[in-house]
Amino acid sequence: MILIKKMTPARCVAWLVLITMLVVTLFPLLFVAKTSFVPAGELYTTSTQLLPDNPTLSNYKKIFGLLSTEESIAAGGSGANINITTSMINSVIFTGIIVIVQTFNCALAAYAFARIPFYGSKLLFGAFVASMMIPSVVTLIPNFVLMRDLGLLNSMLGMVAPFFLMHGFAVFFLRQFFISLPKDIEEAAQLDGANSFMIFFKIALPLSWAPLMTVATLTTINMWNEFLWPFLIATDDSMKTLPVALQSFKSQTPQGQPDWGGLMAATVVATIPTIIMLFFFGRRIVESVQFTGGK
Amino acid sequence: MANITLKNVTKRFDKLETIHSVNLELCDGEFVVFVGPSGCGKSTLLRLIAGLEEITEGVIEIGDKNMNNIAPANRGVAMVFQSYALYPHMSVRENMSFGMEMRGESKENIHTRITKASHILQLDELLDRKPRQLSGGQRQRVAIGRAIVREPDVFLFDEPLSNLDAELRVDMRIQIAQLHKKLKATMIYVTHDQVEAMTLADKIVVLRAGHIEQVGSPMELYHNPNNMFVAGFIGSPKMNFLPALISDIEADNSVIVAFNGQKILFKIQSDKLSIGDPVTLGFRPEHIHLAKQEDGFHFDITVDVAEHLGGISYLYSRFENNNMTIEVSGENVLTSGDVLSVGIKQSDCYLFDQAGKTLIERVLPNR
Repeated sequence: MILIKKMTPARCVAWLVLITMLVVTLFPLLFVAKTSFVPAGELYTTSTQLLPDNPTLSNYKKIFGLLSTEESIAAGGSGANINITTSMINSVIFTGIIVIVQTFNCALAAYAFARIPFYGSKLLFGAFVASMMIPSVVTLIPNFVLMRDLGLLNSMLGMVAPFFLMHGFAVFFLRQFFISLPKDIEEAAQLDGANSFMIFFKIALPLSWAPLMTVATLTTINMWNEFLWPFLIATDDSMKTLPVALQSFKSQTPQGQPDWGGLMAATVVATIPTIIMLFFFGRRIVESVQFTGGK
Repeated sequence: MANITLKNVTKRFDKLETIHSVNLELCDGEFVVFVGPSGCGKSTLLRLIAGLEEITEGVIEIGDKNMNNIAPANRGVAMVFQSYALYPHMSVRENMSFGMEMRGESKENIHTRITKASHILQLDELLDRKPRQLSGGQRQRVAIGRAIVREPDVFLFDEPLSNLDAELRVDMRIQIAQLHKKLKATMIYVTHDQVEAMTLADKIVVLRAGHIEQVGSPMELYHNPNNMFVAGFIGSPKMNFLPALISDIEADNSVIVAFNGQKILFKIQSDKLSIGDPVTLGFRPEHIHLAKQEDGFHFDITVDVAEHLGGISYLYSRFENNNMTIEVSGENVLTSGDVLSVGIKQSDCYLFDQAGKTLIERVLPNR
């Protein structure tokens, strides 16, 4: 009843626009999920349907290596291979290292910018914020040359190096939160005998659990989907992350049609962690980013 | 020994000087209240003593030791903040033990001190609760408990009761007074509430714009304020001030003050006055009588607003464009528009020169 009472014409239009946007956003995902369950032979005959006629798990068996190449080709595949388990592990390690180390480093830097006055801090903080305006492609070649000279090509360290030290947005976001922490609490800790590190670890960090989780979630999503840098650095199959492995899988049949069913199944698997994160932390991410006024 | 000495203490924030060369001696075990209007520097002075702000010039000594370069934790002070400043993610017990853990105290010692402090402040039932599960008064008691367990030489209170409701303020005020009696530690208490200052203090330090206006016991400040600022600040409602003139000067520093066509003799402490000099006559609302006084001034006023509080009533009026407040017994049912003839005894009058300095010294009441 309350909903009906509040339904003004303007609200109806807003709902209509939102529902349209939701359909436009979700339809490609639904199509990807549907295609992953379609047998190769029915790929084009059922392309206008929302649900497959004869759903199958063969595409998933294929990407997890449960079918031989012959069986895969017989099932309508291109014969292309993807080592999705290894790629998944690589993605987890790549994302995990960056999320943990970058969030921690950014929290340290943000706390210093928020609470410890030092000469040039405003200038340095300005540089951090300005770094958000530099497109990543600009630093791609210098970073690549540096990694090559350091002998870190095709290594996990080389893959995480440009990301795991610092990120301008995370520093800005956490600094905004640390500034909002009551100063009295930190002064009470100072009187209790805690030094700056103790105050950071024992007081500021535990009180910043929510924004730290937000930064970690945003970083997880970004790094899980990161393609270009791991693509440049990881040349060996055993080092490829999921987005790189997907691209590699797609391009294994340059003359013929890609294995769309397998590709869609691998895409669904690669998307699941992101969807789970959004499901649990979606509202927090939106609220926290609004809080900073950053985007 | 926790006597505190401030020698020419100055504090500047960039170019803005907020504390101007303050000198102060506080004795061991004294309950000292810093009082003054907002922005007078009382909290800054407290934070300088705590070490939370660095002094720009001068020396702060606690127990005859120079504290200028000593970290807050090593000054032997504990502070109770206006906002309580409890650690929100820690239980009451953890809040109280944090400082002792930082200093590496033994677990037995921590336990003993927490038990003792929680018993004094009746916190035994609350030790495992988080601050958000406590009422304002309970949080305040935890904040005081956290200070007690440190067993400091000096307790610093920064407007600790200002977030509490009126009833709880009175309760906590009494508890703090009892605590001082029990612990016998030096306590410095910052407030803008002069009732708290009068009721708690052994010694009051009145501040204005970063300067000390007067230091003394509550009774000294009430009866013998140095100047019009202190006279107006100490006492509630504040003192009334009316303009008067020196009409004659007699021998042995006696002057005749003319006010509203009446002349009264005052013995003053200055020989710099001349006939015709303007002076300010001060008298407290509680010293005004609803009848002419034989040895004093009298005049007529019209009541603008009357506030009846039960036992007493406040009447607000104006006399020759000067605001006036009169305190009368609640039995007098007066209302706006009533015309009153009021009188003030000569012995209840205060007299100030053009610069606002007091001209007479009054005798303090004896027990």
